[in-house]
Parts: sequence; structure tokens; C-alpha cells
Amino acid sequence: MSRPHFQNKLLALVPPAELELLYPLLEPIDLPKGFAIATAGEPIQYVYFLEQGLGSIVSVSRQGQKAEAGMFGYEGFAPTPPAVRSTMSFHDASLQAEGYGYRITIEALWAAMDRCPEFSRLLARSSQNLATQVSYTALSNAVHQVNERLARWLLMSHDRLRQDEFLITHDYMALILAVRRPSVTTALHVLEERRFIRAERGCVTIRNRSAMEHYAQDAYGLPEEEYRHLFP
Amino acid sequence: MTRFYFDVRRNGRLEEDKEGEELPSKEAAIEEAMAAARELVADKVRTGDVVDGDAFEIRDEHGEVVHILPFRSVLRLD
Repeated sequence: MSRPHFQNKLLALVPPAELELLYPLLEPIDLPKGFAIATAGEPIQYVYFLEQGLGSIVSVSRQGQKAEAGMFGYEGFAPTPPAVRSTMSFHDASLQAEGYGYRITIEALWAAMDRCPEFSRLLARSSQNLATQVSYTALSNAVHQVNERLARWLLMSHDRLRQDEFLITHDYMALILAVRRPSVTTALHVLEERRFIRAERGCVTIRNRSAMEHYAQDAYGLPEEEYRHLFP
Repeated sequence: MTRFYFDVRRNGRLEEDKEGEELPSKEAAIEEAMAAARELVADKVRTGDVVDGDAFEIRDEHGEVVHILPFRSVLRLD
């Protein structure tokens, strides 16, 4: 079998012998914006490996209050519960920026994990890194200003989208950061005034990433450091 | 529903809200501005920043300013 070129970091790291077993179980799939990959309170049927696109994992309270808990793109997989044989989702997960990738049924995933130890380890490391990301989002929500949280979120999205321009409304960023929409608009002005970004209607463009990283330095970088440690 | 825009007056300059937001009434728009100002002022208070003279200027879809809400007006001090 000639090895397909994967953009997904986990699939790219699966050793050839394991890939031979895994690859026939993967189904290529287009992932339009808004595509639901898991729904809170419902059973999980598939696990997705993005090649391109950006997914958002949202916590939903019993009364329907929402905030983004984490994000994923080509660096990981989602939803993560099946990696520990859990089949129930406690989060909404959907595509925030369209893309494509592969999916696998959870039964096939488990069969593959039984026979592919390195693949299983890759899933475990990726789940660990998502947990770290979520824990630092919790820290940031508790201690950082909306401006810094927005900068952090833009940097994390930029890492995963690998493009400077993203189509996103202020409404959606408000949901993600769990703040009112005018607060997002105000924070975007602050970042724009410092020339880190350009904010237009429905679109944000990164102009100076390194300056924005410096600005968000207390809020950004540690989960990314762990990722580099886990996937050298 | 009406689209309201929440421009911010900061250091004498007006920063335009390019997207705006559909809300049922002017009262709902003022309520939205107050909720956002509370978040922004709380951020500043929590991190020891100066709560300065920034204000929301709420515009309707005809461009008319229907209300001005200084951020600091949401502080309840008694």
C-alpha cells in the first residue's frame, strides 16, 4: 500500500503496519461549516480526524448556557470519549470553519485500537493535550480580560487553520468567549488599534501574529508547549 | 426587530461597530449595552485597570444615536 499523505498529525504518525489495518476503516468526509460531530446528551457514533477545518467543543449547561471548552483541527481528533470506550457525549462539537477529513465508527475504532498499540498511544496523548488545553481555557476565563482571551482564541484558531483570514461573526465569538456581543466588538477594536488584526464585517485577518503572541503571553502557549512535548 | 450598532467612544474617538445586532427594542439595546459594560468594567476592576470614560453610543439602523451609555454608569456604589 502506498502511504497516503495525511495532514492530520495523528494519522501521519501511525506506523505503516498499523496504518494498513486502520486505513480501510477510515471514511473520507467533507465537513461543512456547522456540521455536528457530537451532541451533548447523545450517543457518539463516529470519531473524526480533521485534515482541514476547525472544530469547536462547547459545554452546555442544563439550562442551555453555553461556552466553548476547547477547539481541535488537524492536530488532533474528536470526540475523545470513544478513546476510553465511552460512547456518550457531554459536549456539542461542530465545525466552526469548514474542512474535510476522515471518520471511523466507534466499533471500528475499538477494533483498530485493540490491534494498534501506537495508534492507541497517539489517541491517549492527544486526549491528554486537549485536557490541558481545556484546563488553560478555564484559567484564562477566570483571570484574563476579554481582550486577552480573544487574542488567545485567535492565536489558537490561527494555529489550526494555518491561514490569516477567518470568516467569523462577532455573534459567534461572543458565544465562544461567553460574553455579550458588544464586548467582543470592543475587544476587537483594542486588538485592531494595536495592529494585531484587521476586523471587518464577518471576517478577522491576522496581521501581526508575533506581536499578538507577546500581548497574550500570559494566556497563550503552555498547552502548545505540551503538544510539542507529546508529539516531538 | 431592529438592528442596533454599539459604537464605542474611547479617548474622544468613535470606534464603529460594523456588524450590529438584532434586538426587539431600544430598551433591549440599552440592556445589552449595560450587560457588556458590566463585563468590560468588571475586567478592568479585577485586573486593577483604570475605569475610564469609554461609552457605548447605540445607533439604530438609520444611523441615529438612540442612547449613550458610559461604561462607568453600570457601577452601583450605594
